[in-house]
Amino acid sequence: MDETTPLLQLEGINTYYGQIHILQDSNMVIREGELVCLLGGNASGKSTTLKTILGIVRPRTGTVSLNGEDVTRVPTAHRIKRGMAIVPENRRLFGPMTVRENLEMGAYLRPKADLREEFDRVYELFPLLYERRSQLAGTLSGGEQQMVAMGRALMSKPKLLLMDEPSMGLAPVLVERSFEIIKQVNDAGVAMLVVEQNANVSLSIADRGYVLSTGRIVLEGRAEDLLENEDLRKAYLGR
Amino acid sequence: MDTFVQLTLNGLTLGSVYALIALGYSLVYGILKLLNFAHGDVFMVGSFIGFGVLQLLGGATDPVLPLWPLLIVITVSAMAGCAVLGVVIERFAYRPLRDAPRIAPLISALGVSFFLAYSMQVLFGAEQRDYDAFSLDNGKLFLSGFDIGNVRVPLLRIVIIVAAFLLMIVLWLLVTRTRTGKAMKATSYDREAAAMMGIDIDRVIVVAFVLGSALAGAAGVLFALRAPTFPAIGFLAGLKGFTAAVIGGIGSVPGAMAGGLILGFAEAYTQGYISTKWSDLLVFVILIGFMIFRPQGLFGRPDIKKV
Amino acid sequence: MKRRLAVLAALSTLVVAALASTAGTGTAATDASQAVSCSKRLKVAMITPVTGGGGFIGQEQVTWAKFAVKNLAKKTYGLNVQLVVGDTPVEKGPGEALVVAQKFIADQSVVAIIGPATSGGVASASQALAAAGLAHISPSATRTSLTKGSKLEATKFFFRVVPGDYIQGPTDANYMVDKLKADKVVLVDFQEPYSVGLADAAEAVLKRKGVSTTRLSTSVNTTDFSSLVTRVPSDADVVFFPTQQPADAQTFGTQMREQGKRAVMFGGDGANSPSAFKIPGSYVSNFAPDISGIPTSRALIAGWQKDNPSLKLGSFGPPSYLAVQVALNAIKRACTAGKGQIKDRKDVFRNVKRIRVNPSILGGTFRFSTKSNDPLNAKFYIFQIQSDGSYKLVS
Repeated sequence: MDETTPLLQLEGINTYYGQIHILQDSNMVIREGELVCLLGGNASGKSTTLKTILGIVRPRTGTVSLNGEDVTRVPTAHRIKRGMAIVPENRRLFGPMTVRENLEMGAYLRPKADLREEFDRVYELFPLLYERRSQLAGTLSGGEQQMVAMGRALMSKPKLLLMDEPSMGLAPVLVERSFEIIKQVNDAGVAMLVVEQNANVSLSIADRGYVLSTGRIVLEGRAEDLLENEDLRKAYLGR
Repeated sequence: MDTFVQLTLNGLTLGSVYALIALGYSLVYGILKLLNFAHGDVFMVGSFIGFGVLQLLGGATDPVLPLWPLLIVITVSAMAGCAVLGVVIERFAYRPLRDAPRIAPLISALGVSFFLAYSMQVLFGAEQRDYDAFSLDNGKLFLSGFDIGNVRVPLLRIVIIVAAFLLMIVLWLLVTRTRTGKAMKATSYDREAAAMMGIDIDRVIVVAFVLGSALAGAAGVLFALRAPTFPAIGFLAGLKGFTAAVIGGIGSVPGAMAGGLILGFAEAYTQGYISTKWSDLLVFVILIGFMIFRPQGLFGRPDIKKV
Repeated sequence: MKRRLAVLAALSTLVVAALASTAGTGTAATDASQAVSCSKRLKVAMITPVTGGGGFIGQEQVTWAKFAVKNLAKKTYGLNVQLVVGDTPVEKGPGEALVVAQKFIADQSVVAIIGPATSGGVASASQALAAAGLAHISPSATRTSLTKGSKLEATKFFFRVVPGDYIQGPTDANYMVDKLKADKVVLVDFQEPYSVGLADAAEAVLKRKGVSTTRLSTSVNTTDFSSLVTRVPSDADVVFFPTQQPADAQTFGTQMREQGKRAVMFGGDGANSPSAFKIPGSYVSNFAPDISGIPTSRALIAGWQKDNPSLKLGSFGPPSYLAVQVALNAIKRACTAGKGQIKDRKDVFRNVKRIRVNPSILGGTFRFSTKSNDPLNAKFYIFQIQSDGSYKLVS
């Protein structure tokens, strides 16, 4: 095992919504350059895990560390500053703003001087966004919006990219394209945490995986092992 | 015809002041979804700061500064003072209630409104304060100007209208061209998503209060150059600014500008052609009418949330 | 929809708050009167705005009332009297006079009231004061319906030493017609009793005399009058502007100049404030004369000036001297009749109407009319604003 400081580490996380115990003693590690997927069904605690990583939800106990630094009490914006970016569930684009402005928001924390370079990089990855740059993001199709959301996240030049349900609401052909891009971004050295219900596709590109069920991490391991895991196949992959 | 021109001029003067107030309402509402009812009282405080600074500089009859620097100093001090006040209000009256049910900050806003109005009354008395701008440069602001037909457009009106529009243009540029402005827009659309971009929401909110309150301060001075001010004026001024914001679509910056002008014209034409009695009532009628029939205002988008 | 509801909720909160702030306080129960010894310290209480928009009136009144107590109580009437003052800022509404009155009612050593200064204050407090048997003598409440008409707003315990608007309105109107030769007059009211009553009274006389009138009406919260000014015909001779805020009269006059209207501003007693309303050539009326020209008052003016060296003689103050004089005289008579004590505060009240003052500080003999609790043969006075800002008596 790699012994360098992990990019992201969750240790003993317990999260509550009021009386309801959501995440129960969660532990998770993501290291530089890794592609990790977090699997789980509805209400398994996937979104809460992401919200905890982002600082939208504060755990009752446990710590969240970025690059070895405890950020459990640090607000969202300042965690983003430490090299994290997210493609949120449902994209969450700024509808009344143009594609270009959406991308610019992604680079909110980047120095202005680097903006040109970031734009070029993203437009190269998604040439379509260049064509659509002056359109309002709210008027784009689902697939195009997914590209904007990814482009927007990449604008900050993240070391760790969080992806919340990238396949949700997309046609199968677009899902495939989405995952190609994810792989491509990861190959460029960006560590990724992909939160998915679609276990087959995500495990096929991931290095490692975690499986959540009712707030507990019930399985973890290398992606190819998980794909072979009988329990997982029965309970979750449904074959 | 002359009457129409004169009333249009009256409406434009009033309307540009209302628009400045409405902008503050809209900026804050857009981002916090909070009706900042203390905003009218910030306007009032601005007019008092202007009055105080004018007296410190010798008063209208014997100022130590020439006319233009004097006007600029008064306006800028009111804007700065109100900006600080806005930050303080946000920090102590609204931020602690950020995650409380929506009625809580609303009640807090009313409390701040009463607090400001009554503390000004206790500190400075309730009487009307007149800048006595007529005495500046022997009535130059009122008596010089140009004519449209038989209607004189006095210098002071030009100053008020031009200053208001300049401020609105500056705000417009700030909101649409700068990164912070765009961050405000993003935050008002989706606060959580904005935070995910690394936008510091607290800072954006403070900026909204600073800009809105500074504009209210400027509006206070521009208004009080023509008409007396008093501690209780904030309530009505705030109501008019709020109505203007609702007309234009609360949360919308161009809407607030248009709403202010529309309200100014409506008031002037009603007073001029229909009845002087009904003009304040008209404000309420317009407000209620928009709430019922077009709550999103003229420029606002209907409140449809994507599922 | 959610947003609309939230906004409506916000509005209703506002409305409730507004209502709560205007709601009056209920009438308090009155204590049974008990006898007070005249050898002890008695109190005369004054109810007037000392702070707020009308503060300049009350402050001037208090100086004269104090001077009257100092000058008359011991020397002339052999009484030990203290003047106490209750502040009723006009911004708190007329109901404040009742709040203050109740405090004085509860204090058995208060045997007479000077005020309330405003007509609204009298209307709100008179019932309670009457129930406590307290005579209240106002030096400045001029609303007609306090003493005259079918719907009286004050009780018989109310007196005033200055004439009412039934004289002010016609006096002003007559002056406009006879002296200013006005053919066209614009009247502005503020939708509150003082200005509506005064404008009505003046308009009736003007109409009777064949003057063409235009009536405009605005709210007390309006301070930018541009569009009202636009409605003033360019050939109007006079704008009658019975405001209670002198700064409003200044603004209206300035905005008339701005729009090139040549009509002359004419304010009532409420606009009478040399520091705030100073447009040369304008007129204001008042219920009291400039007493500097009255030979028998000279010594009093000198005495008052000695106590208030920094103040300038105005016309709001001297009636308070007269009111205190009437009150002290009535107290003295009650004490004499009660053999050294006032058994009931009503005893003071019963004597008020009998008082005559000669010479009065306002000139001539003062006495009450037999028909109402108004001064007999009193009149209003008209001042013209001079180019140096001073007010000159012209009628």
